[in-house]
Amino acid sequence: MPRLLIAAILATALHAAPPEISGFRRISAWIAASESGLCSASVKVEGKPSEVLQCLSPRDGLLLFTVTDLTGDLTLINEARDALAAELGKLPANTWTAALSAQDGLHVLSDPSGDSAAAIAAIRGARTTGAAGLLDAMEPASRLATSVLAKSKVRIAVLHITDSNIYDYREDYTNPVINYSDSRDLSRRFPDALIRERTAKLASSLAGYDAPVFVVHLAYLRDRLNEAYQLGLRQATEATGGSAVFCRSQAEIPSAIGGAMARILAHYAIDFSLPKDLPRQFTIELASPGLSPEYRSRFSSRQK
Amino acid sequence: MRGFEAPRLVFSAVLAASLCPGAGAQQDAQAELRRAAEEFKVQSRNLGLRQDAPRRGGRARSAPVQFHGRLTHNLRNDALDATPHDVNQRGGDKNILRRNQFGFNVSGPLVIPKLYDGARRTFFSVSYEGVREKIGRSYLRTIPIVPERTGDFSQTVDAAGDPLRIFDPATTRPNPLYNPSAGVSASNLQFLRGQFPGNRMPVSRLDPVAARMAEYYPLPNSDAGPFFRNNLFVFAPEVNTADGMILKVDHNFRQKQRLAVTGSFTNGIEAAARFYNNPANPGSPDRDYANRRISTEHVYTLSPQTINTFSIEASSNISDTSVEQGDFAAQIGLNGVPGGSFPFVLIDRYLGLGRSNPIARHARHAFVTTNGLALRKGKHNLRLTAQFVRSQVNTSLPQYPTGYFRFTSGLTSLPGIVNTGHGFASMLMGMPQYVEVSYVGAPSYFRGSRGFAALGDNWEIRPGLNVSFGLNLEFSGPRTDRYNRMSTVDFNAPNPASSRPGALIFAGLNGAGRAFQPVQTRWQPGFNMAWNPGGNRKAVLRYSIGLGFQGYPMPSGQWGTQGFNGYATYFSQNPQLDPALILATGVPAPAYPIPDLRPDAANQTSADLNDMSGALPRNISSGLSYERELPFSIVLTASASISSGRNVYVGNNAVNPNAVHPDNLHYRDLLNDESFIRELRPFPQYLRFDTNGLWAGGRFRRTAAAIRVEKRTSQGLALSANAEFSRQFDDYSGPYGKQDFFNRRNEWSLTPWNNPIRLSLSYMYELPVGIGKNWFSYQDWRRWIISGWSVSGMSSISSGEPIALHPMFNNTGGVIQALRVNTVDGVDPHVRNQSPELWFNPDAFSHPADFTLGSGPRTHSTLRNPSTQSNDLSFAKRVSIDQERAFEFTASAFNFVNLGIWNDPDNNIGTADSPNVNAGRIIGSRGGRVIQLGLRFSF
Repeated sequence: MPRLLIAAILATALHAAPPEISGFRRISAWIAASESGLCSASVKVEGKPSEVLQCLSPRDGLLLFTVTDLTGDLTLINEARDALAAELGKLPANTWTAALSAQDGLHVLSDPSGDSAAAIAAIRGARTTGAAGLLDAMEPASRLATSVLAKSKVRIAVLHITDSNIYDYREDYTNPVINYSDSRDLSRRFPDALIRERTAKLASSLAGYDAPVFVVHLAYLRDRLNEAYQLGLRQATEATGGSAVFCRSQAEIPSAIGGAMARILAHYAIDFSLPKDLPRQFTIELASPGLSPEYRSRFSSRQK
Repeated sequence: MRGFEAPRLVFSAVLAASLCPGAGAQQDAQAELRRAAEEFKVQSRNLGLRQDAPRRGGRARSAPVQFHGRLTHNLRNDALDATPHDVNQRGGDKNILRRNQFGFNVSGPLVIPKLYDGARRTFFSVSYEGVREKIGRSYLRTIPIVPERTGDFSQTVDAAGDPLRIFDPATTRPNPLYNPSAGVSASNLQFLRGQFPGNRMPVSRLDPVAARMAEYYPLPNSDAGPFFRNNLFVFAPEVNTADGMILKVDHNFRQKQRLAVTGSFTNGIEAAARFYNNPANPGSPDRDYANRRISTEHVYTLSPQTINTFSIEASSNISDTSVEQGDFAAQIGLNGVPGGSFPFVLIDRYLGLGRSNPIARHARHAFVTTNGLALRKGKHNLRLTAQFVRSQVNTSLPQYPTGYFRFTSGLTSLPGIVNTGHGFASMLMGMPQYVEVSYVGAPSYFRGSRGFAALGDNWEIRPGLNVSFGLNLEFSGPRTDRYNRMSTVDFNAPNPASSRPGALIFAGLNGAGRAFQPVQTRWQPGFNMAWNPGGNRKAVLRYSIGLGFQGYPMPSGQWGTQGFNGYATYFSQNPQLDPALILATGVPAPAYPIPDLRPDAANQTSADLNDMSGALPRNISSGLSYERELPFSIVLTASASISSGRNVYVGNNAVNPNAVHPDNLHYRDLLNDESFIRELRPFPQYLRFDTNGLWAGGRFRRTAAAIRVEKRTSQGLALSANAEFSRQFDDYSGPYGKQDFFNRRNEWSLTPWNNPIRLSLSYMYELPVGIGKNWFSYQDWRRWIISGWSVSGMSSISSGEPIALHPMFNNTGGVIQALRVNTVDGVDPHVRNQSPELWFNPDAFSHPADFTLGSGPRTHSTLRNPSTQSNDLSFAKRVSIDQERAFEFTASAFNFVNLGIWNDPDNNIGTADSPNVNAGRIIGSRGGRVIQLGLRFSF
């Protein structure tokens, strides 16, 4: 059995895919309300100057992907739907919204439109049962966003609204006890390892995409497995320049969604050219005289 | 990066800017957005993310089918572990340990090439795990020293190291000088009995059956002591094998319906460690088990605001235990016992022979049907739930098929004088104090039902204030038997043999119902509130209160079937004077064959007693917590809770309807006479009652407060620390039982397992080194070494449990089953420099005089056993091959600091004549570092 196991592992492992380097990448950046002029910023990649190809400010168009992953308590789901509808309803004219669902694989609920009513209706009508899908939807959502931004001059951001509990996934991240009578099983003393591994993979893959990703989680959970899950989500979103917030009460949901929207609307998108022979992981510096921008500084090359 | 608390100023500024751009810029933005929207459609189609994607080859084009999963292997070996402290102290070697745990998991859409494409509709997950384990077990026990086995007790000493005198029961005679008004003492003996010369029993006097039984003892192999105690160091392997699997399939029917099926099984064998390598092994029997479970869940979304969930679950847990079978009774010359296992022998002070329940088969099945409807109505979220559970327990459990023989010191003692005589000496004389033989006519097929209907409402009164109410109507049906083979003692039924109240009744016979308790329905209300004081979203105040009842349990075993199964019982009429029987003459045949459905069939036995009151355990709990988010991603939570319960199910240590009132202790030595004490019992036709731990008669109260601090950072650190302070009191939890069944208030004491302070720390940290991290982000070969490290750990400290002091002797004629010690006024039980040499001051306690109650508490309010600690740590190293595939190596260390935990101090208090020299002292420690290595490949 162990030999078979090792052979299977090696056979699978030897089929690693080579990395692919794109021609440009995008920085998501923010400046304080009192500041302006970030589009005159310069960019250095691995310490070497790079050409700024495009800078999109909050005045430019914004395409927002709203991805819902709601399968739990209707109380929280309804609160989130109402809060999301309220936020979408007051979006400025330069912001279009697409609605997507994470259930059973990422799929489109409504195409991008300046009329938020379509997205709101789609979100309200989306299924709220089944397995959690956030972890499986984040990478394709980011891939879609990056594919679109590569061919259009708009800012793009992804906002995931989720109430996912790590126990609700179809894929087995919780390492459940199979042999209950095995009282000396120590392998489950640290059950968070699987989740950490999965979210580390997710963070690694999201770092290859350019749209900032935000997560609003409706229910903060305190058990060890969900702690690891929530920590992983936070790291994965921050790898894209976005962030994750976890609501500790129902009352916090509207402000959390509102906060995420504010952050998304305020972001700058600065495209820069990629020099040749970049390492797989690289850092950038964004400098603008007199400004102190917050920006995503770490990137990794995308993989096929 | 800042979080979502981005200044509202930013938002306002951006919003203003975007609402008022120049007309040209606005047109450009709209044009770009239209272009992006078209590109979105193209790309989402290319990525297979659209429901309206063109169909190709009969199925919608969709994202590539992806399967995810993992292969795992965990390894433990004694070479990796530290030598446990208790083994070190015995001078032994590490126990052997070989443990391999392996398995896999695969999940994804269900696709059968050319037959079925379940992408987006049908999904599966399958997991397997196997365990192969051989582990060495070590125990330190006391068995007879070699001279004792031939009747030579010249080296036998008491707890103080003084010679222990053994007396010859054949020489027993009344003391003509006995003064009944003065009470029995060494100077006023009621009976005279001669000590064996030299404290040696003549070999010719040994009972031949007992002598052959004694041959099954192994030789002592340890001198841990003191005084020949702890002379058997058992070091034996335990072998465990387990294989289990979980299979899940779920399917979506359009958008509104979903069906999920989950099945699982486990098969395994537990071959327990053996204390003796012969049929008299008193260790656990080997056990085979098979667990099965299947469940189906159907979810129907009637509307976005209304969801119905219906589920059915069936589970089956089967367990078989067995020990060596043979004609062992005949081999030792014991007549009159029907079973094929070695007789079960209990001897005061020594590890016994054989075991109870040598052969058992249990099959426990449960069928659960549940329906839940969740709907939203205005600001109300309603939930209606109904559940019905049907349970079956099919069981065959002959407790003592080859007999149970208990030997105490009384028959070889100087009657009335403690610290004389020896249980093993009584055994060698073939004189048990108590004998019981089980006769099982047929297995039992118990059945039970319970269920509930519940209504819950979560109501948002206003933003920041939510309340939820729940009302649960629970019904619980009592246990029945498929063939009505159940019985109990009914206190109201007249007993024909004694004309006293209290006789056996049988289910379905003579007007008795199929069950002995009524069907019970109970309302269980609950209330919860969450409030953000002052509208502050960073702070939450929560309050909850609820009332709950426990339903009738479905115990395993054949308790409550007396009459259909027989417990032939033989007991001493005076434990100091008369044996229950003589081993060499064998066990008499039962007077009546099985089934014996006479109302007096349980007379002169320990009768099974079902609590027919219908009382159910009731709990009330309430809690208040305040949670506040502080700067630097710190969350602080303070909480307090109180809970109390009554009618808690208790066992024979805490309830005894046949108890003799302690006021009768003034009868002193007369109480040793069964014919005398019998008349003092409320139900003299019975020795005692066996409630099987199911008498609804206990109370408890617990108060607790806790503080929790959580810290989570984007640098990959999650940390939480928790401190809990609690006090729990009850009137039933032992550890030795109640001293006075008639004074419940006097039994109210700290719960023996109450740890008043618990501190715990839990952390996870992705080390900030390697690719994508702050430090050493090498891109070359070094990244394989530096990147992907994480550490995870848990530490906890618990203060010790309350010490329960225990007198070494109990000379109360059997009136008091759990005697306490006396407290000595003016003597501090605490010691200044607490150490294993002296953990508490034994001089603060004294042994109660014969036939008196102890004045001390059941558990001490301030003395505590040593605190315990655990420190576990796990390192993981992840090596990513690509986006989907990775290896992860883990090294987990349990008790990584290799800390020894002190054993509990010796809590036995001796008499002034025979003090326990070890009282208050701690002997040895336990624990040791354990390491497990793991490898996982995930894809």
